[in-house]
Amino acid sequence: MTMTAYATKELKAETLAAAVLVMEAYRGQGDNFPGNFDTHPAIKSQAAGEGFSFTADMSGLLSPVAFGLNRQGGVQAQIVSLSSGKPLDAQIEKAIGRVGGPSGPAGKPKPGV
Amino acid sequence: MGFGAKLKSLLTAFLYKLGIWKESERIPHGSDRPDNVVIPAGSHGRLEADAVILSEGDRVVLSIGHDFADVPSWVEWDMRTGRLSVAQMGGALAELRLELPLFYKERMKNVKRLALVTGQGHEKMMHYVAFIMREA
Repeated sequence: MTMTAYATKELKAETLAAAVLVMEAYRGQGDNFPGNFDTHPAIKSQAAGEGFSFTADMSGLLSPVAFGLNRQGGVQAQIVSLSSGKPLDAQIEKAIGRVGGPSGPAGKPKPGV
Repeated sequence: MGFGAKLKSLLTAFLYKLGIWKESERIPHGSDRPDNVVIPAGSHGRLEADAVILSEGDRVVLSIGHDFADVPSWVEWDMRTGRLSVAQMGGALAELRLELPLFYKERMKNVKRLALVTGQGHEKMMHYVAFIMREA
């Protein structure tokens, strides 16, 4: 099943990283979600009233994941590929930093083009 | 009712009949002032935080870079404006900057609940809340 993301123009790496980790936990638990939310090794959580407070371990993605990321006001989606076993926030920082529009590195025209 | 009160009532009725005293004058000034309007607890109004919605089939995660002061109750999508809002237990309604395009209607039509992730930095909260679509 294809995973897709739609985000505000400005997006912080930790906002997206937390979403990716929670989605991985959600996927692994099916109908039990969110009962066993803290069984995901990258999520250290405790029940807090109506919800769960958690700290995401940014190095803990279990399996590689790829998805299309659309930004509000953007024209086309960017494919974000994330590996397991590498710091997640650093990977995301690098990936979303590249969607900077015309001023971002990816948007700069190559010399002579 | 004493004689004085009876006389006052009679004179008041007489003045109304002659049109000298209008009905509106009986209402004390300022009584319609919204003194009793209760400001809801929590994050209310437009929210400038970053946000992302991640979906895979019927599984949806909405992550918002904001610490809510009150417990989120549900998320609603107003399809007329495209805006997503987070309703909270105390009655506050935070309107996100994130506007979903209309093609998300097909993707979201079977979604009844979503995982709502909130918070700035690496400390987060997750609530599994109801999702409502408001059609135009």
